[in-house]
Amino acid sequence: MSGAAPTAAPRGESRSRLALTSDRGIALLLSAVMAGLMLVFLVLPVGAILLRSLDTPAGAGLGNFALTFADPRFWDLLVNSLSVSLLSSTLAVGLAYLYAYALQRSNVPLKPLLRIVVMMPLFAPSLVQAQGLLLLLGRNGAFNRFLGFDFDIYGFWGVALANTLYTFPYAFLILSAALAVADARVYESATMLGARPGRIFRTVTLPATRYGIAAAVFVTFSLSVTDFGNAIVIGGNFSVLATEIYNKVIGQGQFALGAVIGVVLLAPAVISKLLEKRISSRQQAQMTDKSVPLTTRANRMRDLLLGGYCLAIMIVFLAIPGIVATASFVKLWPYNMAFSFTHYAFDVQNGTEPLWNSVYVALATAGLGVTIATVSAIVVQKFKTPLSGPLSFLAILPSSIPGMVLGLGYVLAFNNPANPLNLMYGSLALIIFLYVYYNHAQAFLITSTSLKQISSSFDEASTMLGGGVLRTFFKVTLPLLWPTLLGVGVFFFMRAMVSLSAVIFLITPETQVAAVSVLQLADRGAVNQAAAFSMCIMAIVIACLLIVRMVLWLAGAKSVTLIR
Amino acid sequence: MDIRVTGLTKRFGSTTALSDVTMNVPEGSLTCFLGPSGCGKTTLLRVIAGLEDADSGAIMLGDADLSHTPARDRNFGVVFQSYSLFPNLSAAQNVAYGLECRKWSKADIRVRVAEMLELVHLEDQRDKLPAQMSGGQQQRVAIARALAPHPSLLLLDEPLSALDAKVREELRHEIRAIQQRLGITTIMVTHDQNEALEMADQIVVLNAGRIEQAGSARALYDRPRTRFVAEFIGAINTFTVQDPQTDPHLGTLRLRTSEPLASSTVGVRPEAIKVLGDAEEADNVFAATIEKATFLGNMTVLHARLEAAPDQPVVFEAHGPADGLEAGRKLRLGIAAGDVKDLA
Repeated sequence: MSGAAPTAAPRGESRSRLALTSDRGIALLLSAVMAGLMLVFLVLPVGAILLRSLDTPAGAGLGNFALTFADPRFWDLLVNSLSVSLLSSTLAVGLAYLYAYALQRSNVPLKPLLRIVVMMPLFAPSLVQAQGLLLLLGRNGAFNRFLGFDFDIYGFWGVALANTLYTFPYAFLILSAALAVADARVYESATMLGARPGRIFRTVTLPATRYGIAAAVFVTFSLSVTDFGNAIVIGGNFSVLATEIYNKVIGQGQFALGAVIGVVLLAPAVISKLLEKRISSRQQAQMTDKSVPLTTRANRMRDLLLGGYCLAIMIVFLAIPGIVATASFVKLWPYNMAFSFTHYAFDVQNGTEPLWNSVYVALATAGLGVTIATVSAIVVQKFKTPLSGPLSFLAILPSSIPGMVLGLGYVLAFNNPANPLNLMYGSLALIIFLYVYYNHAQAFLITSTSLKQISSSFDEASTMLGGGVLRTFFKVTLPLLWPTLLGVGVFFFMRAMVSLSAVIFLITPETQVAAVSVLQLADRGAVNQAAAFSMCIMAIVIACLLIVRMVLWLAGAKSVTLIR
Repeated sequence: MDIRVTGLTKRFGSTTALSDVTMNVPEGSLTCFLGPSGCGKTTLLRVIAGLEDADSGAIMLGDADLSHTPARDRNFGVVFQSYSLFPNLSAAQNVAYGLECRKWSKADIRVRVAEMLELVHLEDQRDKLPAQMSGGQQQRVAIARALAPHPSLLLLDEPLSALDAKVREELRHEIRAIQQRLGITTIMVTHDQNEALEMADQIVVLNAGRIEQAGSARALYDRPRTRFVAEFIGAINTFTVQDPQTDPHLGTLRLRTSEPLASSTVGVRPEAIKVLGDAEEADNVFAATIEKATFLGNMTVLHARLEAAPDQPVVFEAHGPADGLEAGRKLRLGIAAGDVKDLA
């Protein structure tokens, strides 16, 4: 053993310092870029909303809040928003739970079909639900016109129903995941102890899925509270807070009052997000490596009942796009039902330009979104820089900001001559950044999870062989990660194609996107053309899903989730 | 060039993983870090590799101080426990990786990769992906990959622990053969004493972040300095001795040793305890009663009680047919003075 004093080797020292600064430099540079982008496109807009809500003619103060809260109309709207969201959230979660239960815990046939059909609302702007409901049950709907019924769907019930359909797939995805895992040993114990199926459901199934139920309630509730597409199309004289922002800002130019309602809308979203976090953090891992997966046993009666239920739900979810498709292909709904392609000529407004804008924006969002989400995830997961902590907080912040509020924030922040990025205002680029950061949280979480699954020993092996961070990323990490990233790209693409509320304030005639066109056409009463536009959006989204699924299938990556 | 580690200390939060570790790895030798899990052996390897930074101390390669050289510039080869081959690259591409990092020419890489795969007998597996190879083959590729760029030091982090027994045995011999043929300075981390005894020129026994003892396998077995080393390498009986420095007694009998004792704990290997015939004598003779006899085929393990010290049980072995060695039997046990080891 030697205890000799270390002697310095100047040459080796300087070389090593240089390499150290280059890897460290890349880490710091990327962290700083990510933090900068988040500050500009996330923190600044949210800050702008908060500031603007406090901005009164008499200086900064709570005057706008006082004014709003003193108005009895505000309280009516608040009650409307909360009651309609509570109802649609309860309905969506209840119906989706039974549907997910049927798919996960029974032997109903055609499960892949049943699964994809209820995903349809994700492929279209939210207001397509309202559109379809009107075509079915509205004044000129199929039931009233052709079957002699006399429904009045406008108002509370219409909005509640449309939001139920719109939020159903979100609830279904969460509940389906919660019901997918189960430990057969617990069920076998319960059976051997003499528990009847009803008791087993109450004492085993329900408690095991209560976190999923809570998460589904929160997600569907915040989606309903902050959605305005359905409310504006089918609400009639029934207004909610989300439509009120639209009226205040677009109709009356009252930005400060709009900002106040934005802050109010932020509250339920943030609260339900915090509760969801709290609850899910208490959830223990139910499955251990000793768990035995539950297998479904044969039971004809159960399968028959649940199969009937699934069929009914499936018919509803097919009826909506079905009636919209029908309306898009007839001369003049409901008066002239002759088959026609004329509505696909798009000889209105800007023609097909909004559609191509949307495709362009969605592709750009996918590309930029994947890049930003991946770099953020790497910066947070792999580089330990002083910025990692704040970045990981900011990265998941957007999940609690309603799209409409973020969109309003963009208007307030960027339509301001004092902002050097003012020239982005009115461009598609700003819309792309809005979509990227609006959907950043989910994309970041998916990427992070995948990144964590790539063993850190690959990084270490690469380092020991002399590879720098960039070589490791391009030669090792990226080839392992790309199927996930493609999935994240599809997620961004879909959301950018169908999101309405986030961009509604940013639209100019030059930057019209398809979802907004549907709204404007529906608003003008151009029912058939609105339907044709909706069909085009759905067709593009489904085509994208099919193409990516094919690419993944050819590459042998079959287990990537595309619909989230 | 020798690798010298001086005064290395590493803390994780409030736990000290390494405390003032000083040692030397002679050029061309294979040194094993041996110890139970959590003893700091892997941390020591990772600090030497540069994957962890030490809080204090220095790592020297010959005369060059590597303490501040980043891992990627140390030019050390590492073989990890398992599954560290890049799953998206073939065997040949994995081996070529380090050479590409060093900007070798395509032709040179091709030659070197072929040479390395031949070294580990995997010429015919060059285009296979890791998932298409067995665990043993994967570790061979990992060894080829680590050796390809001519590293100045090869670090093996429990390279055999994920393999099944037969493959482990095979690879043990192969690693040692390659190491000796190339004459590459090597450090291997293991918790398996047999692995260390069989392969190492030098064994460094670690316990709770400190070096207990370092030396050849023979030296550690014959002259363990501490009870920990004595018990970790091979089996040993430990006895508490009264008045070790002045008048050493084991129970009621005076204990004869070849050198004066410093501590009150002594150890005797099971094979050093002999069953004496009636006329046989030894430096130390104990009357004993067999308590339990366990037949293991080639030998019988015997648990006995010494009359002189009934509270200190003793275990020894009888080889060959052990007729009549059964519980309750009284016999005389002999221990040579030189076999009594003074343990701190």
